Amino acid sequence: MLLTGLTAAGKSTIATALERRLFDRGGTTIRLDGENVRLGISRDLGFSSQERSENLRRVAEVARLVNNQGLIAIAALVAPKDEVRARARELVGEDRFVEVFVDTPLEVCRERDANGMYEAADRGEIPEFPGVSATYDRPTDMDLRVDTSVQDVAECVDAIMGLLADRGFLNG
Amino acid sequence: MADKPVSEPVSTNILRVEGLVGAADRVALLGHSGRTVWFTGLSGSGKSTLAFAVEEALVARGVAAYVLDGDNVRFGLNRDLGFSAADRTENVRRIGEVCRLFQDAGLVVLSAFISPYKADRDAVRALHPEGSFVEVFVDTPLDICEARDVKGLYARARTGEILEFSGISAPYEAPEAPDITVDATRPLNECVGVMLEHLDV
Repeated sequence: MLLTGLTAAGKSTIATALERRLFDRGGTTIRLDGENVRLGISRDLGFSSQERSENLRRVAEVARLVNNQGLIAIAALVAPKDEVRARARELVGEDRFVEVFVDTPLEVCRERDANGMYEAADRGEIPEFPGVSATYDRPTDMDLRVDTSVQDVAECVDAIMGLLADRGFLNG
Repeated sequence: MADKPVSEPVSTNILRVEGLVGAADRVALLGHSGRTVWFTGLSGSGKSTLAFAVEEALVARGVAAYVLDGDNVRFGLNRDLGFSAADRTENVRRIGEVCRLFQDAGLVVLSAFISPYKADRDAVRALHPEGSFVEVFVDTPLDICEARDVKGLYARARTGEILEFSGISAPYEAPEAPDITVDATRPLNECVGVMLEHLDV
């Protein structure tokens, strides 16, 4: 599962809540959070669009390994480019890939901005920052859209669980 | 992008996102704690064969186990890496990070790579909580690995067709204090027995 959306849109919060919900019904998942992978497997990567692309490639490859064990991988990444998301979909496999667009308005994301990312981007410290100095390609072929400015986390997770059930990912 | 080993993260403004499922929760669900079982040894020493046999034995006992080896990593996650010293280090670093992710999720992950450098293996150990990383030295002598030469790689290394081949034209640093040493010249089921006894999952 890829949760894509702007920085501070609520992707990580949804991912951790979803992981807990799946765990409570007996499923172990592996969460690939953009922040955490940058402290780990992608610690050599920055935020240029080329590096974001490589970051998503690595996450998709790890997700494929997770899926091969029969487990759900939950990736929470900005993943701003259509073509890069499409490549991730292809790597993971169409029938195993679920894309959720966390479509929280930019001004709400800016207000939250816990890590000071937007301010750093405004100062030019982070190049090619989606929503500031780079575009975020709004997904058009997502499986679900949620908006944390009008839905609380539990509602977002409910909607995702419904989608997973419809896709047959919650059997067994 | 991966031309040199990296110690500090390149990205700043990063805060780790903690999950809502703890290690104890996972032990309660799975019935065992997460573990990284790191096989190291020369090409042809029997790492993958042993790892898959141990995986099978663990899964038969209801343990969530999974093997990472060249086939599923070199052609996937690390397809951008070659066999230079720097690339080998980066290869092991990324595998180590994936192992840590899986171990953290409560799985028993079995990693089967030559991983020739001691410092690289020690760095992977350092990523793990005490006791969750198990280094296994598959101690098959070079002459036996070369005599087997299942994939014909040693012959190609001797003629210089393959460069930087561990044990021939590149170093292999054997572990000084592995958690388990396996003599893979013994029958496979005996080696698996040794592993299961030590792992005690």
